Amino acid sequence: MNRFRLCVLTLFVPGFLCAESVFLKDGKIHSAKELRKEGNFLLFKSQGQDGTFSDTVTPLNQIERVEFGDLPALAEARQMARQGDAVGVLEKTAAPAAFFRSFSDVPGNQWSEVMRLRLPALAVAGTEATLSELQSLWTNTGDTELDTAYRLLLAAKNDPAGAHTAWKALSQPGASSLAAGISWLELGKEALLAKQWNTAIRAFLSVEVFVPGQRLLQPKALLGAAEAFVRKGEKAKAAALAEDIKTEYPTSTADASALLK
Amino acid sequence: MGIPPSPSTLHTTPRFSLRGRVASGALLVSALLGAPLQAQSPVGGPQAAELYVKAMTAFASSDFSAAITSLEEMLKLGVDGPAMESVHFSLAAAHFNTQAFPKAKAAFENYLKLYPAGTKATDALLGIAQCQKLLGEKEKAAATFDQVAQKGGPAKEQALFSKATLLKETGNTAEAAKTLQSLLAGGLKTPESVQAALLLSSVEAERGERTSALKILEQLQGRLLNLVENPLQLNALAFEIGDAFLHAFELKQALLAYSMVRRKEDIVSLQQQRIQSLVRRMEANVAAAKLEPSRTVELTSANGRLKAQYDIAKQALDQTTAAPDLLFPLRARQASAYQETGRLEEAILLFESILLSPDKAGREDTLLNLGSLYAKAGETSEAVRVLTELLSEFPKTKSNDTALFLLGTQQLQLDKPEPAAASFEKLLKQSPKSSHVPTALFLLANVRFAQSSYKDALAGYQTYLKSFPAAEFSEEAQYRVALSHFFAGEYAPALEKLETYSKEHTDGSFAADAAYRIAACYQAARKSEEVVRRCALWEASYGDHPISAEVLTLHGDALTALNRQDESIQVYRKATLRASSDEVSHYALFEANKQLQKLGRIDESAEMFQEFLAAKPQHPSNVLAMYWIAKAMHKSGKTDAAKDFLREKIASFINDRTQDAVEQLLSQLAQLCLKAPRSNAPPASTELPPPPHNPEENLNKYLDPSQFPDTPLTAARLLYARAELARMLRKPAAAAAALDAICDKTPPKTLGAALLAQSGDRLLERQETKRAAEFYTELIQAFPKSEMLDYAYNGRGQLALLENKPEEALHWFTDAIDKAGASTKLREVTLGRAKTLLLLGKPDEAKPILEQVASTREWRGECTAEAVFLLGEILVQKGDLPGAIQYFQRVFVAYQRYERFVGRAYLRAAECFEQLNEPEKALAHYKELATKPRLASLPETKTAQKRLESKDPK
Repeated sequence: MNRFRLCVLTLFVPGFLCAESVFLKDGKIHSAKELRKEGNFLLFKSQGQDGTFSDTVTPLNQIERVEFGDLPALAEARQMARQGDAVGVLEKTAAPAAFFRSFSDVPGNQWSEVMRLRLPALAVAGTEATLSELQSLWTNTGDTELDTAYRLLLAAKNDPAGAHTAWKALSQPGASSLAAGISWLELGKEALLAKQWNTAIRAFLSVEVFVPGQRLLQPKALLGAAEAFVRKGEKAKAAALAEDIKTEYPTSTADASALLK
Repeated sequence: MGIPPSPSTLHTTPRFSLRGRVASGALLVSALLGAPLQAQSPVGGPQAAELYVKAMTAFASSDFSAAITSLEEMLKLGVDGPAMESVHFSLAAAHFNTQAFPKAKAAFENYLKLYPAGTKATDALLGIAQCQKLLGEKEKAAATFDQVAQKGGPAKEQALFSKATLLKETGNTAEAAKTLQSLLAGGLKTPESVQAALLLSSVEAERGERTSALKILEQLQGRLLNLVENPLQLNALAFEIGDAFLHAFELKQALLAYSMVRRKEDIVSLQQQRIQSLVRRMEANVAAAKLEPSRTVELTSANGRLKAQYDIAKQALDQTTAAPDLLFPLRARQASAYQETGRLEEAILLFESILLSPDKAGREDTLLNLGSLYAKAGETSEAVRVLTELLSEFPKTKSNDTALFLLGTQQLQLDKPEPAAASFEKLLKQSPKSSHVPTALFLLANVRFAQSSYKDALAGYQTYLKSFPAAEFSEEAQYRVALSHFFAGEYAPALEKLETYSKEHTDGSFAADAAYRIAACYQAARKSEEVVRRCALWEASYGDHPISAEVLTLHGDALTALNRQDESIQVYRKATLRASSDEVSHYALFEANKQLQKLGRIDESAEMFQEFLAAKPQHPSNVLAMYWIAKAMHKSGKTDAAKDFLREKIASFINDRTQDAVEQLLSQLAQLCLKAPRSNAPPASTELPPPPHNPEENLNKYLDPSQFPDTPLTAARLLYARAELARMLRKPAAAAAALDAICDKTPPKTLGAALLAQSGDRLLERQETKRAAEFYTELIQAFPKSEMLDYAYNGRGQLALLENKPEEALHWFTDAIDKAGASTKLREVTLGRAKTLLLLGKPDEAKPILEQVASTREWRGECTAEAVFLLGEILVQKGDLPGAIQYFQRVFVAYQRYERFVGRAYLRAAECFEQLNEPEKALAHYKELATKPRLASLPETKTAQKRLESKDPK
């Protein structure tokens, strides 16, 4: 573990001292709090029948799963994701990411849930620093879609030519993965710069059409398509998209209005 | 076209019973399995014990009939004791599982009578309710479910769920929703609650509460998906809700619902994960039982429940695997939703994605939908491509007529009349009863009309009017009948039809046009007075109608024919300003100018052009207008003013490469600078004579580079002006040097059409073929509508000839005529074609063309010499040597200026004489060639000298 990660854990772990249920493979269930992991052991305070808590140490291989309580920050992040607020999601998921990273080998952890929110947010609002932080923190989620999206984000930072090839390969019509969504966004941006309006429109609208579940990608995709329509001289179509943005993604309303001025 | 049917086969009626997750055919198996097996063996001796074991074993292996037999035999033995409770309950369960519901109900009731406080009392009550429900005693069933729910405990959830199902089935959706809402008050945490939420969503959709249904569906996404027993149900629900929104035109919500439909592979993967998780849990229980044998009964019971869940999940997986992929119905619905809101781009993307899918389901419909969408979006080429693909792949497509109709209309848009006509004709032949027939017939006639096949067009319109007298385009067809006669030059029938149309449609769409055409018919009959009368009437009736300029020009023509020039000038000038088409305004402007020039009213001409410039600052005839203004100024002695005027206009256009007539103004300015200005005042005796006029200096005065933007284009245009002046001063070297500077220093991408043309020709002259090709290519690509295009096509043809590529050359020369009109380069193109045909071994085709070149007076010059020479070569090929000699002699006698051909003609004539065995004449020709000092540098002269030396007796 590098120094940076240690620092993150030290900062954030105490913030998540909420009640969890630890299910053991032998069928026992612990009502637990103050979970932490040391090596191959899970340490926690287990609540007895009399309501008192006692320290418990359990080997990881005896744990069937841990049901972590739903973190308020994650619930808020989900709400923000529905509104396409990537910046908000990045802020709200920073601490949960660090927390669940430490339990990533504990069955039932929500590492992939957090990454499902954080990766698309990074794709649209990530910075050099946030991407570096992700790289230092990263461990595979076991979900191919998320792991591919992670590699794609890193490639854009470290190997632009390779990333471009990957975008092309991943952005197949009908593909519904997060990586495909990110690829269309990037290809749309490239086409805008190259003043290829039709290509840009097709790429951005592919995000809307094929990856509708990735709400965090939508505002940027719709804005991109609207910009391409404006440049192409089809202002009515741009206005329709801007209206969608205003209705669905209030945090991007200002950008949509500015585009049509 | 339309939305494919919803995947109704995937709708799975929730099958819940006492524990909620068991298929209706074996309702109680999993729920009750544990109960009999956990019971103690009943008392009553070995026979009873043996029967009990037999019954339980049969029960466990799902042989319920055998279980019933053993259990009933036990009861006949009259065995008694507390363990008999299990026997009675198991008998009821076994009856239930054989679907003998009346017997099951009676057995449950009997159990309750015997054991009102028994351990299975609630389950028995639930069993009674289920039986009542299945026996159609719905009200009683609802009441019994309520009784169970009131008892609380684990069965409460099940009872409420079953009651809600019952209420939904009886159409009492409001009550069902209320029941489910109370069930879900504790949140979505268990598989049972998730199933209840699914049912609630379906109930809400059914009772029109679409938003509520959608909200529940949204809640079931994410982590809760793992708790859905059969995700196919979720898909079916998403379709159901989406369709409800789609039919209500709430399109965003429809799209949101559809976005929750999962692809087949995703569902399979999800279900496999769920099954693996259940297996792991069962394995963990087995392992735990081994470690702690005291928990065996408890863990076996738990595994029984897990096994039931496993069976259901496995069944759902099998169902999913066997089900068709939902890609087409899903994408078609999404596309429909986007299309309804005018979002064609999104709909197109969706249909395109279906075509790329390996699953070929719905391909035919997709191609048709896509073709229609491309047509709507104005992507005409794509529409044609897709519709052609559809008709080729599915020649007997059910929508053949629609596809052909769409294809024809799109081909028309692409200006491909022949393929369009073929599509319409095919439609008329293959689907004579199609609803598209009338319009196809009309459009087919329009195609023929546009192709100037007026006879066919006329026949088409007449058939249309006869077959569909009240169809959409009948008025237009009637009018087009008249127009067909008109354009075919049949003015008498045209006049008759036009007058009929005018009478029948006094306010018709074509009334104004008809009145104009009637006047034009009179013009054709040279009845100018009538034309003037009708045009005046027309102007009074229709004023500034869009065709008023055409009417005014017709009026002007009639006045001119009547020698009423003053009036005609006025009318033409009016037309000039009113015309919406460039051609009409150009025609009117120059007809007016013609009259003014005839009358010598130069100032009025200049004034007219000034007025035109002010009114139409972007008109393509503007530069010509400027030319005439400057000319008028010069003619009226205001040469300096003319030069100033030209300088000013040149300055405003010089750095715009699209203004390709600037060169014309530069040339005119050079011409005005050529001669000294005339002075009307006599020179004073004391004054020194003015210095001699220096044209170059004079041009520099007006085209001072410091006064213009410093760009490659401006520099090139200033050089061009100097080249023009040098040419006028008969300084060919200086002219060539200026042109060389243009092509050597200016990148082709910065030049306008005229300079690209001139530079290309100059480079061709210098034999710099590669660079010449660059200039010509840029001209074709950057100025596809330029009048200078024939320079490029001719140039490319000449280059291909130099590279000995006659097929390519022929293609370019043909394009020069067909695409560019070959207005300037007709001479070169014609000669080039002849040379190409010769290279292709087609002398008979080349000969008439060469004769045309040789006999055209306007083209007389070097090309004539070359044509005559080549005619001689053709006769050599044919073995007519005396005839050939005549052509060669004509070259060196009549076209001595063109030394290149003179030398060759002498040589070829001498060679012909040698072949004719007339050595003296041959020697005479060699000598004549060898002794002409003017031809000394020619390679043919050196050849002649060598031959003379070899034949010299010395």
